[in-house]
Amino acid sequence: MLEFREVTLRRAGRVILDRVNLSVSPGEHLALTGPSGAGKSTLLKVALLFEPVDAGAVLWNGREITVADLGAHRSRFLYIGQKPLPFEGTAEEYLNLPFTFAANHALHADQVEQDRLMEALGLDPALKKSPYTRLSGGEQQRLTIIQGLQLKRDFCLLDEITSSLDQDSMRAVVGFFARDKARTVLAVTHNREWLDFGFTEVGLESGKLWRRE
Amino acid sequence: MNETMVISIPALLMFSVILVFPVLIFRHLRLRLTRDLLISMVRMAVQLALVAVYLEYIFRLDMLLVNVAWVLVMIVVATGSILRQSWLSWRKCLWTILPAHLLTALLILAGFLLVFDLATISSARYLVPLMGMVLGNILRSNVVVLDRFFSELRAGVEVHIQYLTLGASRAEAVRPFLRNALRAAVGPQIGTVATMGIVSLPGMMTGQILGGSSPAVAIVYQIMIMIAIFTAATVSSFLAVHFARKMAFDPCGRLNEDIFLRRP
Repeated sequence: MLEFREVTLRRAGRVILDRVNLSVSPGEHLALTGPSGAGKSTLLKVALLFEPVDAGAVLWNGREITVADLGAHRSRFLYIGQKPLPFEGTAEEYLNLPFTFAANHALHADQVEQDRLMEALGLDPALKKSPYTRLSGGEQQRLTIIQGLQLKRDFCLLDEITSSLDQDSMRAVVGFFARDKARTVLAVTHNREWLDFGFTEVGLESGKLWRRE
Repeated sequence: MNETMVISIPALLMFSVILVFPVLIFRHLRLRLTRDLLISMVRMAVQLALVAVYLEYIFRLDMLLVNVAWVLVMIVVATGSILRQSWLSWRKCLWTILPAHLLTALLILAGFLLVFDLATISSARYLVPLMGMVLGNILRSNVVVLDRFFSELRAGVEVHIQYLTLGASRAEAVRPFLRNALRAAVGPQIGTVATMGIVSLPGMMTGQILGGSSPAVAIVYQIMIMIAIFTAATVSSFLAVHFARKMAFDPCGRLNEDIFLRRP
């Protein structure tokens, strides 16, 4: 279980997060909404310790996370950003990128699984042979989602991953995460789709967090 | 025979009159560069005059220890200049980046030993100009590589975070940035090498031919120095980024802003 406890964060004299408390239990699906610049993305980075807090703590199963636990802590999460990564090579090589990292050597790319995920997100598996740079932004973004999903991490931190997708692709992506009850999801979003698919809304405004029960 | 004709100082001063043309063009275009141009020219003349005095002295002395010390001074000055031009703090980064250039210099010297015997390469007449050319090119490529590496890292914080969360080690997570920076630093040099002799007559060869060497001797030196320069530029750029990376991030993997001169 991920928990933010009394997290306060100031940047350039402005209070971004003001004593924020939030627990995300296993299997929960939360959509984090709020105006641009409210600190939604920052909250995800706080969870991963990419943003140090001025007060408060991030806890995992009740234990405070420190810099010493960084590697193990980060490897619990699937973090996906708004934009696909720059890459030279084929789409397939892009999907296999995480397996080239030493830390993931125990894992292997599974072709069948890749194809299944591509179809689930509305991509033709034949695209795998195409040069990555020739694909559209929406296609690259969905490949980025699949790239991460292969790592089989059950806690997803998603930062506006559908902002560059058309309506159909967006529904495919949101539906995919909504149906996946095994994964816990905290998704930053401006799209109401996530709520329509049954995500619980958590709002962030003027540094204060609220949760719709 | 073949002594280079000496250019007298009055003749040089007369020659400098042709600078009138760039100045006229600047005035015509209302480009405020005249002052900078004149200051740069005077600076160059003074610096070269001082170097001439040093070099005369070093050449006459020609002691191994002095020659090596001179090369070390060149390396430290080059490193300092690289840091200043890529907006890195001299105080914080000198000792981190310096080994990149020391190691590269050692590698190139080892290469020169395959061509020259120790007595020749360690003599001032060979060591100082050859290492000078190599260091000049290290300087240029390192400014590009460090500047590009850090500016892309700044613009690509999200990419860096994404790599780290996908399981990349610190070294793996900066590799795309290193790749781009290295391509920018040494890519154009490959083009320069390819057109050498057609588009540009290289400086070293020109100097040697003017100095009385036969073109056949001069081109062999030129080919050797091009190989040395390219190797030095690539190896030093790679090592400089490799060492810079180690101090560039805090334990959480964020850029350490205090190693930079200005805060963007």
